[in-house]
Amino acid sequence: MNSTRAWMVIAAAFLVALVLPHFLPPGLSELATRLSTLILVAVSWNMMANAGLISLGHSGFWGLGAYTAALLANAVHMPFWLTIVPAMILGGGFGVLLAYITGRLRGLFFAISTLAMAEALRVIALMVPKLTGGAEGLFVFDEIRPGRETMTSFALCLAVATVAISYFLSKSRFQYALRAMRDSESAVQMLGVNPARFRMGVTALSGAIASCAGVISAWYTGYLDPGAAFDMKITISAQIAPLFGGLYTVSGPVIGAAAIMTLSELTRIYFGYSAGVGLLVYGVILVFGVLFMPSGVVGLYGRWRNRSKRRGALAEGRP
Amino acid sequence: MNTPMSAATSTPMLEIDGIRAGYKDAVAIDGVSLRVAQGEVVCLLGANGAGKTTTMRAVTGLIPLMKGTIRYQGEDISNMPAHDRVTAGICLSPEGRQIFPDLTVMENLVLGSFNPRARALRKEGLERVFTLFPRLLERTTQAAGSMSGGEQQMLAIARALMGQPKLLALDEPSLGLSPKMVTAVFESIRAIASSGITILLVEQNTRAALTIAQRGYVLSTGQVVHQGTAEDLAQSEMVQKAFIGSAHLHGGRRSRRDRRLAAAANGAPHAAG
Repeated sequence: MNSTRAWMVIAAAFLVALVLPHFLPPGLSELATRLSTLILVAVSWNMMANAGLISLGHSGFWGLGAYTAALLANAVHMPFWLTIVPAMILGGGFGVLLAYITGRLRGLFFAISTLAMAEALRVIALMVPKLTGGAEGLFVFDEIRPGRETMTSFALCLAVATVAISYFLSKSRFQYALRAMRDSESAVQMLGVNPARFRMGVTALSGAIASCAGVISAWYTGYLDPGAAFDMKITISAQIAPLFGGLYTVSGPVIGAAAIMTLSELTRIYFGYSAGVGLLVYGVILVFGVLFMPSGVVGLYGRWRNRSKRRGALAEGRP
Repeated sequence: MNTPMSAATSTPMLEIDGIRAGYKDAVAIDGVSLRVAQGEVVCLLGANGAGKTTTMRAVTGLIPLMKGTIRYQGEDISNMPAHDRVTAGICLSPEGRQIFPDLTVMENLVLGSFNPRARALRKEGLERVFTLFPRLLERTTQAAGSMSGGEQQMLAIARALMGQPKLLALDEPSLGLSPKMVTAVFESIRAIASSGITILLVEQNTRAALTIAQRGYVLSTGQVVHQGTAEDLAQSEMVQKAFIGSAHLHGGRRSRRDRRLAAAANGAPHAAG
């Protein structure tokens, strides 16, 4: 895809994001908003994974974004779209801090550190009830909350922007450096790349994007407490989506997010009478999906396309 | 015979003065001093664990110095981070190649020219490495990890060359290669040297190293124990001892052949037996 076509696709996607919510019934509109937040965290998680940084702390970014939005809305009645800015700065700053503190830790050690930092944020949020409302939670000032359509549009636009950023990043020369960092940070250093700086860059970007998801969720639900804002489930779905869709790819996290959201909804509706069975089926499908599609839906599609291409060539008698 | 070549004519490319380096509490090299003049090919010889690779890592900045100084083109770079040394012109082809197996050959090469000075010269750099290693040109879109060991070594050297080095550091380029491949790789290194690039070469394959180097240093247990011109070293009893000693480890046949070769180099057919 050349860059003019890419821009056209992005423009079209923005248009859809702006118009579509006005035609969606409330149920689907809620789903679209939740899907957008899932895409945000999934793409953001995938960005870090692409550079070899496995994060277990994405709920930390989410919670930071959510509390920033809620507190600013309540304190100075900041409009919803503007809260994105301080939330992204804080999320990005937390990303930089994470990169700085973890230093050269890799793999499991990095993952555990991120988990610890996200948990620390949750505990802090519980411990300062004057600011966060503690375990009782916090309501976002209702009168400045936007309507459902606006909120869904806003969420979809952010999702489109995020995918666009990840697409352009994948086309840039930084992609090589990031991919190479996944193999060996000392080897890229020998090529004149400063791995510490790239690490900070990618955690800052990833953190800023993930905190946007928290902002959307805070405005959309209008209520948050430390348990929900720093929920481990956020981190887990942020990594299942890219794993299911296709790790390290641009479309993987998006397709994965759509797939697991659809799956979870379908199992919930179908096995509605007992929530446990639905979750069990959902879990089993995910496990088998990851087991039998190691390169995700995107990889499966690539293989299928190659095979049908070969078969077509055979049928026409070409070698 | 053991005095280093005079480099008083100009500032040396690299001047290492009494460096100590290692890993945590283990000091691997202590008091190593050496100099490499502009356009020279200098080899570091020594057995396993002598400190060759540690010296190389200290020169390229991958491990910090505990003591001593490293000067590059007259400038003290002892505390310069590794990635800045690449931009300054010190490029390393690391031990064990360390290419990126999942990236294509072309992507590996492009990464080699990541530093801003080399990026501007990427086209010329690609031309140069493809002239030097035509085999890589046939494999630009292939995953680097799927190539043979020799081709991967060529890629590692080519990638270092893409960084537009003034000082090319080669760590064990013959490691794990067939004798035929060793010859091919050393032929390429000779071509690189004749194009005017200064080379610091670490090798266990003493014989091959001494055919292309002008001078050499022998390391043992973290110290320079011997130095001189390539001819001096090839004839020195000490080097021969290390040479034959290490060859013993590879079994009798190789050892006999090496002894014969070493004796022939010495000009006395039965002296080394």
